[in-house]
Formats: sequence, C-alpha cells, structure tokens
Amino acid sequence: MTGNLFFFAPSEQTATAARRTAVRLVERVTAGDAEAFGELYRAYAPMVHGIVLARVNRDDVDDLVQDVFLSAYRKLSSLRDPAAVGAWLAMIARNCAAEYYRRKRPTEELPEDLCDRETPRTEAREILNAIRSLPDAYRETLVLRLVEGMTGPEIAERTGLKPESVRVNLHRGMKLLREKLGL
Amino acid sequence: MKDDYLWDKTGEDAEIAALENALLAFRHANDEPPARPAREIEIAPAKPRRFLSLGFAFAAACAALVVVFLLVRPPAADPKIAAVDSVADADSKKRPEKTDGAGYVAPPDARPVKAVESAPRPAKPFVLKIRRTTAPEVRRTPLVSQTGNLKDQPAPALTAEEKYAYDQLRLALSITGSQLRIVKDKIDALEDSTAAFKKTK
Repeated sequence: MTGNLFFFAPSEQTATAARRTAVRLVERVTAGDAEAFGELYRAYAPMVHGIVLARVNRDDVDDLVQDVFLSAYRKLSSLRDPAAVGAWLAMIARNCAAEYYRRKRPTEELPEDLCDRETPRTEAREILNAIRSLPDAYRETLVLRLVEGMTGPEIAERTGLKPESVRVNLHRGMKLLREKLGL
Repeated sequence: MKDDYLWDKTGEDAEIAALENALLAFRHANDEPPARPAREIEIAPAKPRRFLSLGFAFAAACAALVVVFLLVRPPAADPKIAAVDSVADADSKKRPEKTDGAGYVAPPDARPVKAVESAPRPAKPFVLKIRRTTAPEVRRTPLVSQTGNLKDQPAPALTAEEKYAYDQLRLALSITGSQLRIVKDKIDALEDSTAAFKKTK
C-alpha cells in the first residue's frame, strides 16, 4: 500500500503542476501575450503534429499544424476548462484532419526522384504506413511515442487521456505493429 | 524490461530504439509558432433567416388583413340589382293578393305560422324572384389577353374604404420590400467579409 502511494504520488504532483501551468499559459494567451502563444505552441506542437501525421499525408502536415493553432487562437476564449487545453487542441487537430479529407481534391503522388529534396528512407515510410493502417487509438499513441519521442506519461498529460489507456494502447498497438512488420 | 522502455524510456529495447531512429525524419522540427492574425475580424452573428421570416410574416399578415377586409365588407349597391328590385315590386303590385281557404288575406311579407296545428300546409315564405333585365354577358375575350392588358383596362372605381385598404397594402409592401433589401445588403456584406477573411487567411 505504501509502495503504491509512493509510486503514484510524484506523478499526481506532476500532473497537478502541469495543469496549473497550462491554466496560467492559457490565461496569458487570452490576455494577448504573444510570448505565451509561442510557449503554448512549443509545448503542444509535437502532440498536434503527431496526431495529424497519424492521419494525413506528410507533405500537408505542417500546414495543418499551423491551421490547428490559428484556429485554437481564435477560439481560445470559448475554452471552458483551461486545464484541458491539451485535450482541446487534440480534438481540434483530429477535426482538422477529418476536414482535410473532406475538402481534399484527388491528387497523385509524384515519384521521389523528380527533385533533389531529401526524403526519408523507404523503410521509414513503410513503418509509418504500417502504423497508419492500425486502428485510430493505437496509431495516434504509437506516432506520439515512436515519431515524436514522447513518453507514455507525457502522452497522457498532453492529450488528456488516462495513463492506463495510453499504456494499453501502446502495448496493443506495438504488438499489432510487430505483426505487420514481421518483427 | 521491454515494457518500461515503451512506456517511459527506462531500460533498453533495441527493436523500439531502431524504430524510433528510423522514424526520426518525420519528427516535428518547426519551433516557430504561426504568425497571429494582425487584426481579428469581428463578424457579428448574422441572423438572415430571422430577418427574412419577420419580413415575410409582416407581408403575409398585411395580405391576410386585406383579404379579410375584402371578404367581410358589405356588398356595394349594384345599379342592375336595384333595377330588378323595382321591377319585382311593380309585378307584386299588379298581382292579386292570394287568400287561404278561410278567407284570410295574407300580406305578401307574412311569415308562416308554426304554432297552428290545424293549418294543412305551412305557408311558403315570400321569395323574391329576380329577373334579368339584360342578357347575361358572355366572356369571349381569352384570359391571356385580359391579364396581359391590365394597364389598358380602366381602373375600377374604389370606395373610400377600398382605396384606404389599397394604400395600406401598397405601404406595407413597400416597407417589406425595403426590409428585404436591407437584409439582402447585409447578407452580401457578410459574404464579402467572409471571402476577404478567407483570402487574408
């Protein structure tokens, strides 16, 4: 019992501190502090990037991330619980990705040797495609963990998910990914 | 402790580390936040439907009032019917007065007596038969020509009340038209501002 308390107490304190920081940050942004908006972006952009990357073509991800933050900036006054800004941003990112597919015109991907731009290796693209083929909950968590390099507790804190859910999603998603990649 | 590395990066897992290294090229690298909009365009919550419904309701109410007025008003005195009435009066004076079996002479406007049971038949109520003094008019002109040449036809003579109602209807329609024009201008302005906002975005 004592061990359990000792195990959970630090994470609870961290979560509370993170919540307070988020509330202060949102209040500053709402008051028009440009620096605070930059801090908000740097804190949550990897999460938004991961959520969008799990759904959308790589070339359009950066534009969509910018769209998400601009949209959030305009709607920030409508945020009821400033402590839940991470979950709120994640929801906007998911909506933006869905909207992207709704308005997207059919395009055809050009071959990579058309230009000299540095492209990720074929292996990396295959891994990313394998992750994208997983169910929603698994692919989002795995992209945040493997691509954005966030830990499980960080994913839970930023997205507003329960740590237990993140842990389960990570393990089940990793198992499915291993099967797909033949590891 | 493979699970710990997947959860919080403690311990070692070569397989997951290899995946991380391979996917490093996709990681978010842009730390520059997007430029905030220089000026927030305040768009007032437009309610064009409410405006339109109010205008239409006002016009419909005016039209209904006019229709009710035209239906309820007493019929105007028609010179033809007045002439028929005079002919009928002259005929009734020429005709001898009818008598019942008991020698009672009933006046022409007498009502039937309902309470008397001995009466064999109730007396028929007096009915004024209207005879036409002129032949009925036959509409020979086609409907299209009538509707097409409305301006050529002489304006119907209106009574003072009809003229008042007509003026009120025209006033109501002009007010409704101006309201609808205002609504249309607001919608156009809203669309323009939305398009401008999208362009700046």
